[in-house]
Amino acid sequence: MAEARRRSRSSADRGHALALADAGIVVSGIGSTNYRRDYRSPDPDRNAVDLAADAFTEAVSDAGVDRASIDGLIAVRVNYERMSDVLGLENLRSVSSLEGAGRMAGVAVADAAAAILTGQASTVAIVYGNDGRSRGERYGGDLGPETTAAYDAAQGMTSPGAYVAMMFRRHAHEFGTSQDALATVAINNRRNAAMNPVAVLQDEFDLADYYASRPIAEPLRLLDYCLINDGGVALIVSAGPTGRPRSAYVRATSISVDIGNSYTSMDCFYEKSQVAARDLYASADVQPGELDCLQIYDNFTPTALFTLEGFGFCPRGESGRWLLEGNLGPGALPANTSGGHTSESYMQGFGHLVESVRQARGEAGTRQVPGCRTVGYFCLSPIVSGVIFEAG
Amino acid sequence: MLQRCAGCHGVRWPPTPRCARCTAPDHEWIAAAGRGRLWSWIVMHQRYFADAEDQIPYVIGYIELVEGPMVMARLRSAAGARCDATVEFRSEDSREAQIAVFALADAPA
Repeated sequence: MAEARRRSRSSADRGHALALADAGIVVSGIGSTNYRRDYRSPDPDRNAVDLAADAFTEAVSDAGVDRASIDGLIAVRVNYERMSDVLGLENLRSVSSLEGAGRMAGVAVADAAAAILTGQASTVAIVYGNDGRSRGERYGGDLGPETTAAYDAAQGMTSPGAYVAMMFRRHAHEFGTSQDALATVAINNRRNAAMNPVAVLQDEFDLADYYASRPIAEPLRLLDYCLINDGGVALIVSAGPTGRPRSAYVRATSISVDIGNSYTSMDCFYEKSQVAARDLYASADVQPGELDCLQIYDNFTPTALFTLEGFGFCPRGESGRWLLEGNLGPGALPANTSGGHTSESYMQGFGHLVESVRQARGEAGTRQVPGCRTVGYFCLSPIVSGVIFEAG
Repeated sequence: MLQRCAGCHGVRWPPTPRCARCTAPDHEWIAAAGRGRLWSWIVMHQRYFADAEDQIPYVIGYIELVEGPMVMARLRSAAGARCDATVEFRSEDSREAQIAVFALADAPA
């Protein structure tokens, strides 16, 4: 009773966030498919369910838990009923279903942690499967749920990339942001992907190549865009460590919503990110400058710039200059160390979560950030989220 | 035509059954002046809509109407475009009746 009162008092100090330092919640298992192999040799007989199942099998093995002990399921982009049946989960006490959108990766981690913290589950499987490439997904041309979607489509306006392009041009107008800064993000990702055997794209490029890539929603170009590829990702979130020498603990999560009638945020998600960031860092008892490594949701390169400002790595409006000064990357602040959405794989944030865990555990091989103990995952979107992982 | 809320007099776009600001359902319709400020724009090069393919590349502006609401609309041209420029409604494309075309206020008619 006294314990619960102490926890609720401290959560009032830390705003709307999960402060989990005392909770001992761990990502005990991670699994993901071979994006590169599947991109080069797509298997028409493997759909999103199969891809998610493959990742789940790997994650369970990685966690070293008995499948029968899984009592929580969060299915993202794949149907929860189908996954529960295919994966043979017979002891679930907690189930939820999240839409296949990038904003949901942070939500999934927060929901899994909350289920464990409140005693509704002890071992939660998060499963994600994406066969968008095989299905001809273009992430544009269909009507989204936004209030303005139908009217925008009538004008020929569609796809999140175009909405982010709008924001970037405005950001450049207000703050003098150079498009060269977008290239630094894309180049950083590709350089990291070159060290990742499962990354879809590995050929490094330079600034001239960036500007030579074809325009999509100008000013954004092909090299600013996330991949469209097939894959599956799974995480097992456990109430405690499961025996490995170094575990990735979920130290804190925080969410803040920036939903208007359009995807375009007039302040590039800044105000709402600051709210999430304040509570996230207070809950994790860490400052942004103390993080060893970042995994930034990069549906498009400008989102990474907005994230650096919103989550306090540089002052508002300064992300372009901050990047051009060389503050992102090895020797400075490593980010998107497996290649990000633009070069490794577009798994709508779940690949970033897996890489976060690998880096915190010290299991990232040639990509390992030396001495990495704390990793931040950040997603700027209509649902802004942040997760801090810590080695323990 | 834009909705003006009967409760708080807020003008909104697109049309919705209730006012998001005050939740009142009642409203009246007002004629938009057809002028606004160009907040930003993009040039679409990607074929997402089959019936827009022959118009590629086309320009989409995000416009703050003088009445308040933000709207996406075509811009006749990106030539001379700059953020915060005044733009004016010029025409509706005759082929796709719902396309609203704006141009820079200082562009020739």
